[in-house]
Amino acid sequence: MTFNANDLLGVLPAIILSIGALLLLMSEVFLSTTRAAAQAPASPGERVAQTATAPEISSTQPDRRYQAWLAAGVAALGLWAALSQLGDPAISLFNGAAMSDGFGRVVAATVCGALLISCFVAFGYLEWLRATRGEFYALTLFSAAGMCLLAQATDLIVIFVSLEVMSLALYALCAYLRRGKRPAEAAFKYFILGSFASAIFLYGAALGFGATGSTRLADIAAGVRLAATGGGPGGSAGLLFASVALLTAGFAFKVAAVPFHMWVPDVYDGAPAPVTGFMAAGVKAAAFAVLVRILVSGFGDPSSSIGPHGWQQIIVWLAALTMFFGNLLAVPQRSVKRMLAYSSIAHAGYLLVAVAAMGNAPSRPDATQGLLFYLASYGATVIGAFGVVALIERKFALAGTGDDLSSWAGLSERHPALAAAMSLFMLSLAGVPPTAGFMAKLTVFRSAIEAGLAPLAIFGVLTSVAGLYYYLRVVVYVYMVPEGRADSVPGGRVLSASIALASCALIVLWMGIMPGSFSAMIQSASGSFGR
Amino acid sequence: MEVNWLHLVPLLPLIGAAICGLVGKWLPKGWLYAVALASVLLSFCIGVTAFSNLEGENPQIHELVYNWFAVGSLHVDLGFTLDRLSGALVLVITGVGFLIHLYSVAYMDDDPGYWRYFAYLNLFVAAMLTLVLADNLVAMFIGWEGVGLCSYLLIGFWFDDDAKAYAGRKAFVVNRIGDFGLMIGIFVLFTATGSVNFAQINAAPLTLGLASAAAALMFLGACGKSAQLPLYIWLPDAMAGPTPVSALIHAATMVTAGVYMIARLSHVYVSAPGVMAVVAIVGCLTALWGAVIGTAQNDIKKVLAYSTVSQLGFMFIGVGVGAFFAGTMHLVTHAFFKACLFLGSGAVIHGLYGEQDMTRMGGLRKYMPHTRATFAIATIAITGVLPLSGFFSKDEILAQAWHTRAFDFLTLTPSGESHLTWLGFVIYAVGTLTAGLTSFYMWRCYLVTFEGEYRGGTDVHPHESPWPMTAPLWILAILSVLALVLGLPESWARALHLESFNWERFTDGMFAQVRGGPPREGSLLLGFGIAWVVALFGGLTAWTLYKPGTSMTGDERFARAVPAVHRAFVNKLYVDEFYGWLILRPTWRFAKALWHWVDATLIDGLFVNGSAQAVEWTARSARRFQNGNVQRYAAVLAVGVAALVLVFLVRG
Repeated sequence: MTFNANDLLGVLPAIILSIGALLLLMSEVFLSTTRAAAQAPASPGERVAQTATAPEISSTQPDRRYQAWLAAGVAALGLWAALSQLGDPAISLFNGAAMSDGFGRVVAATVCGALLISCFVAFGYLEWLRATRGEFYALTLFSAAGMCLLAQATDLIVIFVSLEVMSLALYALCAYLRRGKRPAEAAFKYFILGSFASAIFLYGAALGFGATGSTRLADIAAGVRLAATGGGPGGSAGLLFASVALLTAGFAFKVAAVPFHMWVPDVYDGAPAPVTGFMAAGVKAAAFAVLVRILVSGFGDPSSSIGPHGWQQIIVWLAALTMFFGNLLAVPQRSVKRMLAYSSIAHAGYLLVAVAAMGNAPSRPDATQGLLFYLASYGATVIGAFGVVALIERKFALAGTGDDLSSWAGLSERHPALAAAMSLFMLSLAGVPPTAGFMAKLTVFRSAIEAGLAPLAIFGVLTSVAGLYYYLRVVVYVYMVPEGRADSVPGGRVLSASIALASCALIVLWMGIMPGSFSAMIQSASGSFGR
Repeated sequence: MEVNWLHLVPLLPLIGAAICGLVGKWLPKGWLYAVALASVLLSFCIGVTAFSNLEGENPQIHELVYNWFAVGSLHVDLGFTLDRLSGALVLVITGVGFLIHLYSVAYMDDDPGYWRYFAYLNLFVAAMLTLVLADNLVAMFIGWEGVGLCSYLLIGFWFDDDAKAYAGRKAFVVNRIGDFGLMIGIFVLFTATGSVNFAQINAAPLTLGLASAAAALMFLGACGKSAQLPLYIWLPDAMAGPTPVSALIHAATMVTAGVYMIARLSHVYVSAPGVMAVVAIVGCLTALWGAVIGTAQNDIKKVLAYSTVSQLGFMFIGVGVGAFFAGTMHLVTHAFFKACLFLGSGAVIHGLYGEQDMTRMGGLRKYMPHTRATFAIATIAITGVLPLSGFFSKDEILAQAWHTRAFDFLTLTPSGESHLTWLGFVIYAVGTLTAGLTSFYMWRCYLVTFEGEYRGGTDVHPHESPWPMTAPLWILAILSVLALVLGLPESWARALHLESFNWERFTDGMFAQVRGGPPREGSLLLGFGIAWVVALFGGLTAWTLYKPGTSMTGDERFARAVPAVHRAFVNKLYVDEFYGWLILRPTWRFAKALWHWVDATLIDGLFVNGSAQAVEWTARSARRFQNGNVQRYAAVLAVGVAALVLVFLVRG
């Protein structure tokens, strides 16, 4: 066991994000509350805020706007760090506890990009609600650091620690708007169930350690190979089976696969919309990354019955269930946030199709590419969609009715650009060309067919047709239903959100129209798991 | 030659469309016109530059815009190729397109939806340029669907009027049938050659079966887009759109896309001689069919619409007998004189405040001298009485059909002895008859509209159009005369030192050669003589029947002589009714039965209401779990984990 300082460079994005978070927390100490007393003319948001019981809100808070820009700058730096290492050869870090390869770098870049755009969305939202407090951006940075580490971890202990770094910050972020019951309830549920899932994961890790004597994924892979030939300690094959089942279950919770999805609607609904967008994009990317690592690097030996032959079929069934119920349960939703929550479950199903396709060695590079493409395109789309929700919601955040479909009616009349952006995001989620969502589904289903999973691909296409119904319903409300409420979008403080939405829309179109250039960018990642 | 600026050609009109469509409503009118016109004009200028850079043997300017996507073995690039064929078409599309934009400035000035109109028109130009410049089938298909979309939007431009909105829908639905064939054809070609790139497809060896399947399926697409039998029925109805649209989309450019596509895939088509015969026969029948119906129409735009159907038939004869250069040459010359005719009819309609019925026109030469003069020139060009462009291009097609060797190796049965060498002559004969009919109905149209005395109401005062409308008319009329240099026989061209303009020489080496080899030698002057006589005969018949002073007696005399035939002609040979009887009514009955038994009972009852109930039931029972109770969530989670572990252990 030696410590090599150069290894720290391999986890550079996570380090940058952590340092940024610490800087933000430190700066909070030096803020003076007197300086800004004169500022803050009454805004509509403030009036709303004051009617609610919100003791921490007062007009004498210091000016914390710098925090958003600092956080955005740190995220941009992290993005740069991840992208600049993209082409480098893969290296093992910290004696095999982590890995710096194309796969992890692309996921880290996705996370940092999601964070960057989310900062812009959150800025206007929090300022309008006068709810900018010191911990918000620090928490998002910590959770993003956890996500980046998760994508690179190759040791079950490191995975667990990163998982908790990510999750604990997110629990707090869900409850960030301490007004009304719903955010606290959402955070509490998320916390309880998340802890439960973590415990299940730990149980799986313990069984894996019991069977192989190590928590390193490489050692577990060796143990799997040994157990397949009848070697190793007695009963280790059974232990490994239970271990992979429990580890899968733990991350099925995080990616929101059916039947581990129950928390998603309540949490997505209760959390502030900018947080929900970040969560949907970031957690999904990190959790899928680590799920793939455990399954492919740890249990990927094709010769063993514990390997892909064992888990591929399970993942196929999870994917089918998730696509089916995610789409089905989204249909009756009238709240756009809840609809997007169920849609996020459905998209987890499509991503699981890519994971299943990774079970076959020949289709693995294509499936890896498809998975990463899907994660990035879904991230850009969903942050954009929740960004629009945030604009609609912030006015009605306290009444808790902001995201009902009726408050979207006639949006195109007053805000044509916003309406066009929302429609674009809906089309991308539904998988209609020429958006990113279409190319993502195309590559994923294509890799599934290559892996001999044609029935699953056909089933996926059919469920995505059902998805058209509830996505297009939003478009119908936005364009065709006459205006319901007079002023669903507040004026002022929309510039930062507009920048965020415009960049999301551009990414969605860019990945849809020129998918080749993105694929070329992530080319180095497709070989991360060999053939 | 690889360049990096060719994408500007379709991109500029696309930008124009985006500006007009997104902010056009709020732009000052003048600015909007400037954007719409300048984008097409700039694109034209780039096209001219590119075209003048084409030098040497079968030259090409190519741009790989980017690698579009690669999924498995399917690699699709967005690439543009400008060779002599697509280059000439780019000039036609942007040149004629610009003139029609200019014309529209005056024509659509009063319409409140003018900004929408110019956005669609610019979008159409962009899509059409993508279609002809695309270097692969997928990109071409995008342009193909794009022009279809614009056509739909512009036919139904005045969607307040149900009939017009319906006409747009009809065009869209009929084209879907064709596009379905085209799509499957593309799949077949991709499967057979492993590529969608034109150059690679044309270089790949194809078996007779695969080539025939692909060629036949894609010809179905061409039939839809280019209004050939049996899918031509949408084009006459498409006249519901604004007249400049009819000129640009439904005469000069979009409807010729099928001809262009076949010429582009000439190597595939010559590998399927049977399909080529079908193409030629369908073209021949369509030419005759359109001309026959055209003789008895009284709506000036309908006459021109059926004339377009008929002329497109001529182009398909050309490509069908293996004379790809003749078919495409007629495409170019037809673009000039038919656009001129349509714009002329638009000027008449504009000058008569929306009147389209020729029986209420007459004597317009007095009121509209420019329109009349240009209409007459274009009529001469299309009928081929004098050696104008239409004479040479149409005659080239007929001569090629007469002497072709494309069918020399074709037999009716697989083991048959008798070769279909006579097929070319039959097509020639029918084509010549059609040429006579063309001359008849076009002169009838001209005489009834412009000669004699004005028969319209006294409250309408016919007037000449403003210069933005007459200027394009004159330019197009002059072009329909000048385009004769494309088709001059080689010996004549050499004598006049114009051989560099000769279309056959110009496109030499671009198209595949039919298996039989070049056509037989035939007498040039004999063909010309017959064509002259036939055209003169048609024109003289029209003159005796419709000469000034005896207006419309021709129709009456015709009706009295053979009432049944006349009635059939007037009713467009009952084709819409025939389709109604053959397809619509049985389909309707079947649909009704289907509706009753399958839809109302099975689908509505079981699937729709049933699935709605199932969804509701599922949602309700899911709500039992999803009630916000965190213990219940944890219980579901635990059961899920247990199930997963169990499944793993049982399988293990």
